[in-house]
Amino acid sequence: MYKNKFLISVIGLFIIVSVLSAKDYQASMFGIKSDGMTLNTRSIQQAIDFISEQGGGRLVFYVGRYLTGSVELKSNVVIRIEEGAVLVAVPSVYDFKGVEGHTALIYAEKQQNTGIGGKGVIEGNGDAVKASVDEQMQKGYLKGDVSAYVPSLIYLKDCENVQMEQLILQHAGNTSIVYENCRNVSLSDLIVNNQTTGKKAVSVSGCENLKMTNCYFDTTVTPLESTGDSQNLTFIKCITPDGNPVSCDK
Amino acid sequence: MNKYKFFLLSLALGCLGPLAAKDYPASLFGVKSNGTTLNTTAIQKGIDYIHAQGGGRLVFYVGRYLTGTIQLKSNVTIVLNEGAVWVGSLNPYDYNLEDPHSCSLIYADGQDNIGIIGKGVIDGRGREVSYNIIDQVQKGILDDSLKLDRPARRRPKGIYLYNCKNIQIKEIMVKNAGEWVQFYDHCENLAIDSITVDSKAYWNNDGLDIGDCKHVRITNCFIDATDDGICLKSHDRKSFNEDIEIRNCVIRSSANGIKFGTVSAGGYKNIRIINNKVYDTFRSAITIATPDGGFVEDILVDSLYAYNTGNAIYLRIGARWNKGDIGKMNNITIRNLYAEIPAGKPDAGYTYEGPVEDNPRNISPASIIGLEGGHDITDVILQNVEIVYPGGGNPHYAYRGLTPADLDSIPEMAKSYPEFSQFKELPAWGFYIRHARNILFDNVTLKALKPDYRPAIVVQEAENITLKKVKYKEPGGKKKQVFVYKSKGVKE
Repeated sequence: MYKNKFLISVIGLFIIVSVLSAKDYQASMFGIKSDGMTLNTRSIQQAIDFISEQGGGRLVFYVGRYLTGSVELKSNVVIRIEEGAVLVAVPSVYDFKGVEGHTALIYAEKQQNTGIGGKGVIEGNGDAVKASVDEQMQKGYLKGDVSAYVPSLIYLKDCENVQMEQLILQHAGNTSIVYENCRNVSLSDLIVNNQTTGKKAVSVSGCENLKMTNCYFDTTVTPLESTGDSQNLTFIKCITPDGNPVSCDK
Repeated sequence: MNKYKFFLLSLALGCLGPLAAKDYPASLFGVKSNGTTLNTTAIQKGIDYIHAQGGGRLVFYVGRYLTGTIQLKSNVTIVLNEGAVWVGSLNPYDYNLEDPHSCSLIYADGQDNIGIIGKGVIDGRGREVSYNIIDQVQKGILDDSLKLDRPARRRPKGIYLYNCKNIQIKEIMVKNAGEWVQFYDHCENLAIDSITVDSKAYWNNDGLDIGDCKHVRITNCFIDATDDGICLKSHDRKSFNEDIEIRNCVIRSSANGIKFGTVSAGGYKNIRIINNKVYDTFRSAITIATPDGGFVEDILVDSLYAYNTGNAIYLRIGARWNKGDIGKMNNITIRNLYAEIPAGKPDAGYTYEGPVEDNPRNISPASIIGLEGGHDITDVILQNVEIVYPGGGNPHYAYRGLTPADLDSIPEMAKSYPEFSQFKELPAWGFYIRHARNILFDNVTLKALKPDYRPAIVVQEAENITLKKVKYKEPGGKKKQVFVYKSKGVKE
């Protein structure tokens, strides 16, 4: 037990040290535009790939609206969305990718020491994205279940040491955050607002050591779900608008 | 005798008029309207020539006139006829980049009797110019901090007139600068009438900036800006704004509709803001802020209508770049104001939307907030005012209660940039008054469309506050709508 705690502390310390010493890269270095109109998908991906290849660092978005499709998060890259910055999902179904059919605005598989933070916003644009799926389905170019095409905001699979902090996540067309088989992950000071889209906030399955602190979930459905075997899930001060605490009771 | 004098004067004026108004078509100087020829030197030659001839009008007919920085000179009026467009060069080096006093598409310094008139357009193409500056910075050619990932310096304005007199700006459309689209600094006798401003090309795109000017009339203008709409500033501690009238304007902004500040070193005196409309505006319909030591006095805001605007009124004294002096604010009258505050984001969908910030926070109240240590905002009258709020403040999302501990914990934030949301959650849904004296509310209606956990008004550390004929409309059971804390002479 103590050994385990010690190990976690060491890992925690390592993360703090590595984040502190991480190099910052401003988004404009990669030609990323804050005008809310330029589709930045490829530039943001190039930035993440470049920073990861350099050994890691932080990609920093300052105030502005950054239109994007799906991007893949890589090890040792932290995305900073500073106060006033908004990562906006482009309302076009063909701009989203994911892992094994699960699409998300930001996704990752088998990556470590990564995260997203800042006081900024991830705007899912859920209704507009869904409308673009509906339109393509009516024309017959897409088939099956609508929700299979509408992306989550964040989807992580088999990832380790991931921190999400201080973000506002809103209008997700699908469950905002989905973690599958992840270990040592924390989510803190998140505000999730899915009032208009009616989707869940967080879905967890097969995770180990997940800690969620001080989160506010404004959803029309039960905000959290836990499927599959997860171990050591902790929920502290996570509430809904009526003030009731939430957790993934299993 | 008097009649004779009048006759002579008329004769003199009659002779002067045609002389002063002599028209020179731009083509005389080889200026091309094809949109691809860079006309900077030819246009400048036209202005220099007309100026040397004693004055006249440089006339542009329909076409696109590509140009870099142009200097306007005394007794020259630029006439942009309908269909004529001045198009800003995309090459940053075509502007006076290294001189902050002339880094603009058109500028003048110390000139008299000048104008820009006609139904034509000045289009600075500031976004592309700014992108090209960023490119030069990242190549290492230009040096810039790129604070907030944008060039901190060198972004060209559209029009920048400094220390000029007798200026006429009429009917033109001004658009798309790298920063403020027009700035009139230390000018006198300035008339801006019936212009259209489309200032949404890039960051810090104010609509119309007036700095330390005297005798200004801004009338019948339409302004759509990403930053403040009409903004009175004072960069000069030894000067101030005086006798300025803003009348019959319609303003849309992703910051404040009409604003005093932020830089407010000298001050503001005798400013009249009459019969204006503000809509789809992210921050306050009217902000009067003095964070840099300047004074504000004798201000009249009459007939201001604000629809879908994030906040109605924000009056604020701060101590940011004040160098020891603390600003003063007194004798402010706001009457016949109607404002509707939405639950959602009022500027959603506009280019360069205002930043989502200071969260978590329920809908912010209108505020009058001075500073501790006796720096009260004094003698404010609010008469015939109605503000409609969405209500719905949720204590689980953000909470500021009414206990001494809660109220004392509201920070002073003297050094902070003044915006209505800066204090995050405030304890009232309608009006918050702190560090203020001699405040009269007369026939004020505060309406919340949904129940809010907060009272309508909180008065804190204030003196002689009279709430006369103040009506509160909030659904749900009756509740105490005024809460007074550490204050004297609050009359309901």
